[in-house]
This record gives sequence, structure tokens and C-alpha cells, in this order.
Amino acid sequence: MNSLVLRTVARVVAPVVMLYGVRLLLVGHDSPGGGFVGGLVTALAVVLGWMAFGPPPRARRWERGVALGVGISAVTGLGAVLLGRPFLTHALLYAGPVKLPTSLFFDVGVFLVVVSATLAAVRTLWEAGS
Amino acid sequence: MQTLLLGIPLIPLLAAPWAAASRRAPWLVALGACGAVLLALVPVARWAAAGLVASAELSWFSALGVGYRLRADGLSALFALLVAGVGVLIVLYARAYLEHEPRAPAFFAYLLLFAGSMLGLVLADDLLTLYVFWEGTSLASFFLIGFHDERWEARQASVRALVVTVVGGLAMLAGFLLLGLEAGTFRVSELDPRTVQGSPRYPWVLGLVLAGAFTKSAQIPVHFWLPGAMVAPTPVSAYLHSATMVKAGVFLLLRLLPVLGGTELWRTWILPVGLGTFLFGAVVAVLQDDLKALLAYGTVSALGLATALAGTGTAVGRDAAVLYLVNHAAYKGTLFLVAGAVEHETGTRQIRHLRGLARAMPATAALAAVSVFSLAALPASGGFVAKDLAAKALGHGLEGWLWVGAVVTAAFGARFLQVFFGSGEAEHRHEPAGLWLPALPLAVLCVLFGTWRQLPEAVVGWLGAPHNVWPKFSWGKVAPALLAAVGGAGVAWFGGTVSSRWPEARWNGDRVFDALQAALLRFADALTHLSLTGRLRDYLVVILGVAAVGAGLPVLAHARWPEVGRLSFEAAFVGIGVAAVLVTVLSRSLVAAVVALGAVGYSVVFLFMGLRAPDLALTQMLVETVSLVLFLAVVTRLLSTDVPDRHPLAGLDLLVSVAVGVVAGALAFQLTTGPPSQRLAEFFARNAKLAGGTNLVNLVVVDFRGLDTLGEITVLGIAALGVLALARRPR
Repeated sequence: MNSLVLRTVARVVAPVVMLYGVRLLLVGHDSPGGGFVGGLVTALAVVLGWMAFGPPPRARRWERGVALGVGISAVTGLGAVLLGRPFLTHALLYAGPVKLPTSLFFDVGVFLVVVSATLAAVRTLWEAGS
Repeated sequence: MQTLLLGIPLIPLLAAPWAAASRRAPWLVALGACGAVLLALVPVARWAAAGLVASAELSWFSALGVGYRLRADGLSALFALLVAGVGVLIVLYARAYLEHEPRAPAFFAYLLLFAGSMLGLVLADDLLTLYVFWEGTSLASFFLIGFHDERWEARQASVRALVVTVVGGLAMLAGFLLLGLEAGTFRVSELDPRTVQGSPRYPWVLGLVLAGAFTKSAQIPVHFWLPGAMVAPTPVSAYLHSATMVKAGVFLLLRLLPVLGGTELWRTWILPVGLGTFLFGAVVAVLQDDLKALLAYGTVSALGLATALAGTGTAVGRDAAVLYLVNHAAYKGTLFLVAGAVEHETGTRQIRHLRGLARAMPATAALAAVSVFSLAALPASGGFVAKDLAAKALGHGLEGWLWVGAVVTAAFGARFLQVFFGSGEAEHRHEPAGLWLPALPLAVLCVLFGTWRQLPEAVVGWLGAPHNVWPKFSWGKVAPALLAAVGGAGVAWFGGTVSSRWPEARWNGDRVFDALQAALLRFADALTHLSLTGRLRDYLVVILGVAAVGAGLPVLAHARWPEVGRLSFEAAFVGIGVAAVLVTVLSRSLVAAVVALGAVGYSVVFLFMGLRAPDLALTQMLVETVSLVLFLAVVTRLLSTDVPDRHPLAGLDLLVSVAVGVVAGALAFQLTTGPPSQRLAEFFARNAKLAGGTNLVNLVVVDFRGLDTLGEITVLGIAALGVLALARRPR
């Protein structure tokens, strides 16, 4: 897929889409969005980049991203255990004026898993197809 | 001090990996472990001798009342001493026997695994702890029987032994669970016989526990695994398959005798099996031409007698069984070590090829003679004392079995001794000290038990009230023993001539087992061929068909059908969706079908928006997009774009698709039009404040039902790993 139009568009659109994906992750607490959707959007932005400029030379170790994501989500639940509350009990924190629920960190884990899993699937099938 | 008891089984278990890693002297590790256990048992034994009981426990499943509980009464201490003591001798013997074996470290590691499990088994005071160690010994036995795993017979024999003992063990576990539930405790020492025997489930408990005991102690008709186990290296045969492990079944009977025993059922179920095994084993032993097979059937016979003695259900029977088992460990252990030495030096175990070994191997021959004396229960041997007590325990009605058995037993003993007599070519044979010295203490025990009165009385004294077990020497007792021995020698000569002409049995336990195993494998094979066609479409038909029928029946039973008048603006999107479905199904081009499928998904997005569910709409849209990208960018390149191998409208596919669609539609309709659960909605709305957000969907996902999400991303991650693994598969 070697197209000047696609490359020109992707150069502008892909970073914006990626940022939008991260935004969806961050605002999920109060408006439509969240780690799953944000992860899909971000992964799509990366795939758009691959379509325009070609995929990375070899399959990255996506399993690390998956493991990191599941690990982060699980660890956020352990904090509550240390404080004697049930696993995965979340707290609402504030960093100055910014609302920072601990469930956001959980969502970051979800985000990472979705991005890694999607990209792993696309990249693997891509390789198999070409 | 008593808590040290808990460490006794752990010493060999922890030493096992060490022995496996030790290249230079794994036997030294094993010797150290067995020696340490022996030392640790000294205070335990002194307590037991004084009539005291050491016990200790570590909480395990406290909610179920299950714990790692050990308790060393006389019976346990005696068996533990047997395991550790014989273990030391076996390790010393194995060192010489496996001199040039490169896999010796693994051998000693398995041996330690066994020793630890066996110690745990005999010391356990908790039914489930006992079960765990029981299976541990089966596993160790499996590895040791199959030690020469390059040979088919070794592998097959190990599988037979494992399956027979583990199936019995599972039955026993079921019996233990029933027993524990009936008695209200899993603690062996607290089981109340009146509660258990009064229960209507008592026959079940007894039957299941007996299944475990009989398989482990090789009673007919499942005895066949024990002779098969003789493919193991000889130290294993001596240790596991004659001196210790096979006695676990009888040990279990003795352990549970106070709880389950003493009933008519106990006698009528155990005695016939035990006595039958006793005679059967002895007769078949005479006909063997292989030294170890002869000893193995001899062991089957001895285990039968011990089982029968336990089956009497009396205190005398218990004492006789234990005394007999200890003596059996001494003489049969010696005989196995002798057989191993003979094979090691001559390269064969066939009796017909062996003659006149006494000249080349005088010490070995002497050991063999002493132990055969005890085997034949001749006066002044441990066997005589044990058999005398056995006769007392069986009583006048059953004593006759003992005398018949004695003749046959003497006969296979004489067959064994044949190899040392006569003139044969024994030029270059010699006997390394390492192959007979370890047997010496066992042979000495054979004599001591028959000449030193305190020894058998001490053994019996550990079990309960000491009573007179020393036989009064009278010609009335000695003469039958001598007669039996002479008769046995005659039978031995006869057996020798018969064994060479004995036809190979057409149906024995091994063959039945192998036939059953082969039938099972054929069945599995047929099932695999039937279910795994290698075509994704077939799998989908099965999966979706089952889902449609399984989920469909209850859904359709309660379905309410929409009234056409209630459809409003959604009708337009439904129309688009239906049209897209038709295009998908009817299109001859794969790309067109994929795009049309995407259109179906997007029409659903609009339906979600109509339902004011922006999160769902967003997610649905993105999932559709990713799928479309995957399809168009990648998958279409993998597949041929021709028409698929089966037309989408083929009968079965169409049926399954329509069924799935109808069921899914009915389910969705029912869920969205039924009375919504106000309780849940209110709960979430009320508690959203706690989570500090306003997007309820997201709050549910990451907070209220976070554990579900964690499970989901784990599944997603595993799926991704699966994709990666499939792609990296070497092509």
C-alpha cells in the first residue's frame, strides 16, 4: 500500500487519532470512553501508520505489553489489600485540582492490553499475509 | 520436641532434588537422608517403646478440618523404622549395583521421593494427608519401575502399576471422604468406630478403602502389576516391591482395624481374598523360571497371608500380621538382594541357566540359605515364630491353609536355592562386597527373630499389650515344619520340570489390562477423528449449533415477540442491516462480503445511538473498524478470493445460521424489552458518587465489576499470546 495520498494524510491524522485514543482513556471516568475504547483507537492509529509507511521490520515482543497491562491492572487491586480492603477496591484521589481515581490506573492496564493484543494480532496476520 | 516429627518425611523429600543434582555421589546424599531419618526416629521409637505417642500438626485446610498431621504410635514407628532402616541398606547396595549407571542421580532422587512419601504414609494421622503420601509412593514407584525407559516392557509395566494403584487410590480417597463425613473428622486417631460401623454407608466405606488396600498390596485379581514391576532395577524390587511399599495396603488395614474392623463384613470380605492370594501366589511362584518373578509371586503370596491375618480382625491377627511383615521384609529383602547380585555377576536370572554358584559366591549363597530357612519357616528362624503366631491368629478352622501354603512356600524357596547347588560353569564369577554386605544385617535379623526371644516380643509390645508370642518348641510343631520343607523340596523338583513346559497363559492380568488400554485408545482415536475434521466451518457449525439449541430452547420458551407497531425510526436502520446481511450472504466476492458485514455492524451502531448508549455505540463502531481493517488489510490476502468450498446457503449452514440469529435476536429482545432491573440501576446511580465519576458504564467496568474486567483482559492477553504462538510456529 504505497500511496502518496495515504502517507500525507496519515502523517497528520495518525498522531491526532492517537492523542484522541489517549484522551478517551483519560476522560472515560466522566464521559464516553475508557481503556478499552481508547486502546482500540490508539491501536488503529498505529495500524494507519503501518499502512502508510509499512509495518515495523519484525514482530515486536507484544506479549510484554500484554503482561505489563495485566500486571498493572492486577497490582492496582493489591493496594487495597495492603490497606485491609477487598481486592480491587478503588479510591478517589486528588492531585491538586485534578481528579485522580485509582481506577484510572486499572484502566491504563486495560488500555495496554488492548493496544498490545490488537497490534499483535494485526502484525502477526500481516506477516502471514505478505 | 514433638513438632520435629513433621520434619521426618520432609528430610528425604527435600534431599531428593539435591541427589538429582549431585553428579559425583548421589548415593551419599541418599544415605545421609536415610541416616538422618533413622536418627530422628530414635526418640520417636523410644517413646513408642514406652507406650507413648508423639503427634504434631500443621494446619492446612482448617475450614475443612484437614491438616498435615503426623502421629507416631507403635505401628507407625515400627513401619517408619523399617522404611528408614531398609532404606539405608538399599542405598548402600544400589551404590554397587548401579556403579556404571549414568542416570544414578535420578535413581536416588526417585528413591528419596519414595522414602519420604512412605514415611509420611505410615506416620499420617489425617486421612487426606495419608492419601497424598499414598499417591506419592505410587508416583515414585512409577518412575522407578520405568527407570529403564528405553525399554517398552519397562514403560508398559510402570503404566500398568501406576494405573492399577492410582485407580485403587482414587477409590480409597472416595472411601476416606465418606468415612470422614460419617465420622465428622479426618483425624485417624479420632474416628469413632461405633458411629462409622453403625452408619448405613459402612459397607461403601469398607469396600472403597479395601479397593485401595488390595490394589496397593497386589491381591488377586489385580496382583499382576507386581510381577510386572520386576523390570525395575533390583534395589527397587527389594525396597518398594517387597519390603515396604506393597505393605502399605496391609498397613492401611491395620491402621483402620480399630475403626472399620471387627465386623463380620470385615472378615468375609478380606479373609477369602487374602487366603486366595496366599495360595495362588505361592503356587505360581513355584512355576517361575525367573529368579525375580519367583520372588515377586512369593511376595504376592506373603501379602495375601498378611492381608488374611489383618482380616481376622483380632488383636492377635494384627500382631501376627506385623510380625510376619517385618520378617518378610528381612528374608524377602535379602533374597532380592541375592537375586540382584546373581544377575549382576552372571547376566541372567533364568534358573535353568544357573547352577553351582555356591563355589563362586559363597557369602551370597550363605545369605540365601539363611533367608530361605526363614521363608520356609524352619525352627530357629524368624519365619517360624511369625508363622506360629499366624497359625494361632487364624485359628483351627483356617490353620490348614497355612500348612498347604507352607509346603508350596518351601517349594519355591528350594527352587531359588537350586541355583547355588550342583556343578556348573562358575569360573570367572566373583562377589563384590558391596553386593552382599548390605544384605547381611537383614539376614542376621532373620536369625535373631528366631533365636532372641526379646525381639519379636518387643515388636508385638509396641502394638499394644505385650503377650507371649514365643512358640513352645514341641515336636508337634517342628515336625510339620520340617515335613513341609521336605515336601516343598519335592514339589520344587516337580515345579522345575513343569515350569519349562508350562504353556504361556493366554489370559493373564497383563493382557487384560493391555487389551482394555488398547480399546480405550482406539475409542479416543475414533472420537478424535469424528470431532476434529480440520475444517473451521465444521467446528463453527458444531459450536454455534450447540449454542443455538442449548441457549435457544429456554430463550424461545419465554420469548415475547415484538409488536410491529412499536417499531419506530429504528426500522430504517434495521432495514439497512437486513439488506447488508443479504449482500454478505449472497455476494460472490469475499471483499464485498466483508464490507457488507461491516455495514451490518455499523447499522447496529446507529441502533445503539438510538437507545442513547454512546459508550456502546463507540465501542461497537471501533470494534467494527478494527475487524474491517484486519479483514481488508490482512485476512483477504491470506484466503483465496474464490467462492468458498461450500455455498453459504448449503442446508446445514443455513439452518444453523438462522437458528443462531433467531435465538440471539429473541434473547436481545427479551433483555431490552423486559422490565429492567431497577434495583441494579438504582444501586449504580446511588454509588457512582463513591467512585467519583459520571460515566456509569465506565465505572461499572473499571470499579464496580473490576474483577470481571481483570479476567477479561487476561483472556484477551492469552488470546493474543495464542496468536503470536501460532504465527511463530515453525512452518
